[in-house]
Amino acid sequence: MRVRDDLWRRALLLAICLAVGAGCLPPKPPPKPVYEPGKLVFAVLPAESQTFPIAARAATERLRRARVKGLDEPQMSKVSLDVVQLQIECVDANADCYERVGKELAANQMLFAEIGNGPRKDSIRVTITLFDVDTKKRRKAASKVFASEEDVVWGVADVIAEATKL
Amino acid sequence: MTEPAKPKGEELVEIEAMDLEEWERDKHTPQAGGERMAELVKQTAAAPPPVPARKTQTIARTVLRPPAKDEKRDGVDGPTLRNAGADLPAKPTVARTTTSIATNQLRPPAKTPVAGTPVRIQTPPAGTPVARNTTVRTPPIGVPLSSAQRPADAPKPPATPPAKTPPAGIPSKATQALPTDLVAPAKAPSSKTRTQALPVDLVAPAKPMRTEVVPAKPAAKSAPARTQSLASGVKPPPPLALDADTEGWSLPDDDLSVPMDAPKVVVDPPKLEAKSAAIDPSKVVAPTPKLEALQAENWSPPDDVVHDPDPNLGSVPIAALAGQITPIPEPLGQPRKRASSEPSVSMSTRAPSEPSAPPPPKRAPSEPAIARRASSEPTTVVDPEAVTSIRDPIVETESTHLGAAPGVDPDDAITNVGADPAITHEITGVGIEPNVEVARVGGPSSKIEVTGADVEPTVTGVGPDPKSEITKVLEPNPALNKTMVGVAAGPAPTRTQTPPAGVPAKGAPPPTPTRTQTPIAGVPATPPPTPTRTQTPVAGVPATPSTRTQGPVAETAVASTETASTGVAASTDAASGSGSTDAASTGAASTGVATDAASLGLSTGAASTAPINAPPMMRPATAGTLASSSTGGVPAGGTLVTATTVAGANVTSGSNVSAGSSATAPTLVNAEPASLPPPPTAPAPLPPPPVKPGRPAPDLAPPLLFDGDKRSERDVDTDSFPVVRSSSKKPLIIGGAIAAALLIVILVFALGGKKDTTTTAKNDPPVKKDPVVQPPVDPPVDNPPVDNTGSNNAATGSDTAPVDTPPVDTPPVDNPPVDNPPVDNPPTTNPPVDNPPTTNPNRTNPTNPTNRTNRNNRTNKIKTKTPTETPTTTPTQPTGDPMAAARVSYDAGNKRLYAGDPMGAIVEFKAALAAAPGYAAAHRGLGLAYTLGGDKAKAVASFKAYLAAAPNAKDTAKIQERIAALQSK
Repeated sequence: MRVRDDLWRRALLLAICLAVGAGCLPPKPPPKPVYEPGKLVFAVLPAESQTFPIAARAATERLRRARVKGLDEPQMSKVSLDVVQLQIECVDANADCYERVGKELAANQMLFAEIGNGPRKDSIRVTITLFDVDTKKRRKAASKVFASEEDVVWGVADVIAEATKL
Repeated sequence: MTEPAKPKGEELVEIEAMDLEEWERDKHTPQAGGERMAELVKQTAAAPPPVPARKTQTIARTVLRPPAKDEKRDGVDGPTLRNAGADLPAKPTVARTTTSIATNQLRPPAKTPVAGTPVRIQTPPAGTPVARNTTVRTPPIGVPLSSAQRPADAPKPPATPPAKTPPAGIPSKATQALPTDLVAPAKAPSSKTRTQALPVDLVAPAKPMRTEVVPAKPAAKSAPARTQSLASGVKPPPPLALDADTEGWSLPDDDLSVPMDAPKVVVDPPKLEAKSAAIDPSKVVAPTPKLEALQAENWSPPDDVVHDPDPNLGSVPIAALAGQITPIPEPLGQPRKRASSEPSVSMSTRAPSEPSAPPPPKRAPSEPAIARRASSEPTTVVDPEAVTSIRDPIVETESTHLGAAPGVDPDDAITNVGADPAITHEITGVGIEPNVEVARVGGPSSKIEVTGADVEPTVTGVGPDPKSEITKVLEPNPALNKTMVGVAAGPAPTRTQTPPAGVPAKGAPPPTPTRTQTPIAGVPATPPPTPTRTQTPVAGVPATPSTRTQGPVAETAVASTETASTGVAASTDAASGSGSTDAASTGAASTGVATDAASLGLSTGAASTAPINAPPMMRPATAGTLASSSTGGVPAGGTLVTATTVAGANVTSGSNVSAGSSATAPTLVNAEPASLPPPPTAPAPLPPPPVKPGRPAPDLAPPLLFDGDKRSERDVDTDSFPVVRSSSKKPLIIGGAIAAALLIVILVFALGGKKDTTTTAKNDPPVKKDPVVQPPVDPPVDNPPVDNTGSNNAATGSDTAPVDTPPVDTPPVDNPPVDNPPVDNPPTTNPPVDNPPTTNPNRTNPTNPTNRTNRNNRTNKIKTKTPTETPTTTPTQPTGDPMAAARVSYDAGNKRLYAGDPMGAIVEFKAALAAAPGYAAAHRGLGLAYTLGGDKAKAVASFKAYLAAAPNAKDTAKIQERIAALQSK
């Protein structure tokens, strides 16, 4: 009886060792991303403002987390809207320029922020725009005037949420 | 700055947009017109002058009252609910919180009521006029009223002597209050006195609105925040009950008209050790001498001692509260007694006259174990269901023998053989696990009660008595010991047993094997131990007569446990016992089959308390050792008389085996032969059981009945082996092994498949791939092999003359190696198709220009080293229109820039500038690229160059902003 138990014990121990050894093998590398044709490119452009850098940074951070229903995770652009507009020499804030920017970035949907002066002194107006490059229309936009840059840090998320709420 | 436009037809949500006019609108105080203002002035002049708001404060007061003659309360005030933790007893004085107007007073610290106590001081709603009254709260029921609250016709309480100054040295109490009727002494108190607020009549103008303050020495140790002005020498009028009292509103204390520079008389309050007497009535009743002394001096204890904020709670007598308190049944420090529903913790074989085992206190010798235990139970709360699930101990005595459960180890096979009359067995085991198998021979109306088993025990064996019943008491806590209780009360000690079916009767009755168990030395054995045990011939095993004398029963008990756990000997005994039939019913000659059930059952206790590892003879007598002798001389058709001596009590055990038990086949719990080894003194030892091949022969030496390894593993507390039955282990082991094998196979297949695919991918030639091999073009002779650009041109077939083109101005300084991970480059911003002139078909990573840049740099360096070689041209430089080439380079630079590669962009922009020095956009691109790269100076220079090249550009403002921002940083 004892011998049989010992045999079984040894067999079990061997099996466990084998299983553990097999588990120590190098993991399988993750599969490479597969290109899917027709997939919408949702680009998020970081905000840039020479006057309100804190607000721009806060808006960029919030834009990075933005999600739009029906779209994939956004691809964060390396350059801001202003840079692209400067390079394409279309600095107007209209749909034509936005469309060109979108095409320049090969994006179908764009989400960007525009930071400008508010109606009052030191006030900031932050406008979040969700632009459809294909239809050349802004799908949703939300604007809010903040009293200061610090307020933008705390309140820009609401503006983004409003702009991305479809 | 880009101002967003609002195109028509698009949704724009203006969350908060406010222009300047709107912003500045109505940002002023309310204004009235001239006529309206005059009218208002007239109304104001006609109206009576408003009564100036006075300061009201909420002051906690303690009104000293003589004790009320309430017999029910027994001189004890209601429970102190307001201050948990107060240790002082209740005082007949009533503490109330009154609201009075006091001048030059600081509000005493608010008292935090006990949780659940309703807040009594409420803030009046807005618009409530400031009432000039004091809030005289209605005292709780049974609390005497103060002089201010007492009706006119009410009897006056005995006059209270003037308050005295508490002895010095007593630390101040923040909320020490004086009695209402206190007449302040004419003399100024000592320097350590403290002023306190007194009720002030706010209505009568003759009476002072504020208490006068007697100039006194400022208290050195007075806390300013806790001092109150004392109307020294002024007898304060009683507070008036006004409307605010009925409404329960306190008044705001915003009267700041009192000068704050008034001197303060500090009265040191007595030191009161105010601790809670919250619920414990005993603490409430007992007053401390210090408090009594204070009471004698008319010093009221602090508010937090006997404050009774809730009249409802205060009306509850202490006795009633005390009755609700569940007394602690046992003093602290003593272990809680076991409830009747709990299983027994002890593990002993109890006999009526058990001398060796230490009897528990208050246990009658003739009382059954269960009954005694039940009688000795404390008055603890017992689950009624659990109580009902346990049988009556009296009924228990009427039940028949419970099978011996040697060891009652987890997963042990409990063998129940026969009945044992007149022996009360309390087989208390530990860990009757769900896998317990109870093999029993059903005695007449035998009952098995398994207490504590989690699952219904599996009862196997031959012919359980249909009358027998198995009672199982489920215990919620499996960790507790489980009791297996059986009380034997068999009628006849004689029984005839027949061999189980299948056992070949040899025709002649086998010789009577005698097994004698001798008691351990020191254990008194009243009757002569003459039991004879007949080993059961198992199927296929001829019953060989064997007579042996067994050693101490304690050892036998362990041996039985061992065999029960392994299913060898005890099971065999059980099986044989179950296979025995009544001779009267069958009339068949039987081999002598006797089971030493009683000894087995009794030996459990011996094994429980006896040290396992101790030698048999060295075990103490208190270990429940017993002398059991069973004589099983059973001839054919004879009877088997089993006599058992338990701890000196000779009890003849035996019961008629029911006839029904013979109807079934003798299903053995374990068909293996008995492994009881023949004792060395046996003249004719039992033949060794057949040993299966591959299995070690059981050691027949008596000491080896104990498994040495397992003996060491035996838990002393539970007296059980931590072993699991091999029968229950086997499926697990087999399953585990199969699972492991499957896992291994799966892993092998998975890895092998992967390897196969990899190898296939490696071995198979690429089906469709870009031509890696360059076309056989005659390269320039002077091109070094490291010059990719030259080969690139050759590969692309461009007609650029490599010899005539000057080298590109790409100093190594401007092209530092950039470690941009390829992940950061979105594929959408840098399609490789858009880089026709610059792309090198030989490059494996066209999106990473760093390598190419480095290669270019390296190429330049090499070229510098070899000046004889002809410098090559950049592929971005077209041969025809320089502006076109500059645009191409500019686009490529933009791609690099969008991809987050400012260095590559710089190269491209420089190439564009090299192609067309007057190309302003390249300067702008360079400025942006330098900005992203962090080179502010070059960025500014580039921007300035851009402004200089295109002063009237549309984006001049933005560029200037950037310049300003870069210069300001």
